[in-house]
Amino acid sequence: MRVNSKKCIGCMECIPYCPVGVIVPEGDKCMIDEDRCLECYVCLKADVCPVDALEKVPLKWPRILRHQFSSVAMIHKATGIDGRGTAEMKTNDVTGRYRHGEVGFTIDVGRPGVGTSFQDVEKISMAVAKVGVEFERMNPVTKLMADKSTGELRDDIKTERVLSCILEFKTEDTKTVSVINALRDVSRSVNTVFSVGCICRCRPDGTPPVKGVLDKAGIFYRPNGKTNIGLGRPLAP
Amino acid sequence: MTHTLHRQGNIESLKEDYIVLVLGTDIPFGAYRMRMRRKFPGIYEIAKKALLDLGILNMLRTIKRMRPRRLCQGPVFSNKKELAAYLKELKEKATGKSVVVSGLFEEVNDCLKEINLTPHTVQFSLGIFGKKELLARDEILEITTMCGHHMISPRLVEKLAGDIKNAKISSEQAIRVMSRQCVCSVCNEPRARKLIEALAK
Repeated sequence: MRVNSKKCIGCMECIPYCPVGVIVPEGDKCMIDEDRCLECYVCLKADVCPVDALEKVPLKWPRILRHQFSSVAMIHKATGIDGRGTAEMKTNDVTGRYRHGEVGFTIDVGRPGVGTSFQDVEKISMAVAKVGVEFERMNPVTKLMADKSTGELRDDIKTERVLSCILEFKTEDTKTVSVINALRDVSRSVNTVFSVGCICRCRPDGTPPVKGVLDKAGIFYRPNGKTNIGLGRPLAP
Repeated sequence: MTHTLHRQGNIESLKEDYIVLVLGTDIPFGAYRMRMRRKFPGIYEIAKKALLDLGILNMLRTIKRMRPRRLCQGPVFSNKKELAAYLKELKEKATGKSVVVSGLFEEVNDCLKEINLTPHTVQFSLGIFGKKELLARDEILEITTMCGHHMISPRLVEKLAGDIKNAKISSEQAIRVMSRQCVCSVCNEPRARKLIEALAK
């Protein structure tokens, strides 16, 4: 995005709408720091500029990734899926993505509201890859990996920034604590934040085995989360 | 899509915040595609790449989007009673679609017991890791995390709270402006109103 300075009347109405605060006053006009703009188009969609001074800039590779990961409704060309990740556990009763004995993780890098570079995303993916995880094939970040066994990303995208992107992977439930420890370690070296989700298939009585693992290891989890209530019709027994 | 997982707030506030998502799979060709992917992963990948390259897959997705039924749909509830009634309705309809409830586990489990259901899969939020000094303050995050894609800017919340305080706008108007940014419509407006009114004080 950019502000057309010839049109801008300096009303500053657009400034608070930017999720990462990159619309700033410059003299008596507004300007957008294009290096830090994540192309989410929130400012444009808010439709607050009275003179239509907010303008899209042509997005070429790899800058187009900013828009693909920052705008919600964009379909990723590599996966054919919209949003920042897959349906992960939401459709687990149909897809069987996470099975008994497995634990899944979703790492929302840059969330909430900070944004991230792919360099930081790579630090995290490489840290968990060392523990031994299987990255979700249909996830758009996985599609950007040069090596799925090490979590290394393609060189040409590393300097790009996005509002948020999701690393999705699963591993054996015995590695739950090791993955979380790896995340704790790498959290000290990133220049962003990341929100961690931990997924598991419940026992027949509805209890989640991973809860006991988290409790035993003294790992914090929120009292609220997501529950798939099993009404989806499975494809296979 | 983890957009309803990391909602923040105290227990009392979260007792007024439940989201139900009813989903088909994220697979455009549904069951057929899933079976093909499982049985013939190589052929599946080749076919998908061809469809993507030719633009056919995106065309199909666009057509699907133009239809009134959305991939992800579901209301937001402010109390457990309404949630339980809605879940009961969904169970009786038996559409075969996946149903996911976001909210306090204890309260959601109570509702499920009422209608003889048990959780199939759960997702815990382990919170935020990393450079937390970059985050907005907690009172703001309680509001902005209701839009999981973070389309609601912390600065906008601050501004609207200030405008309410200075009697420039009402809290209803502020919520209207704010929730318009959340394209998934999972921002709980009654809860957001309470929170922004508290912030304005």
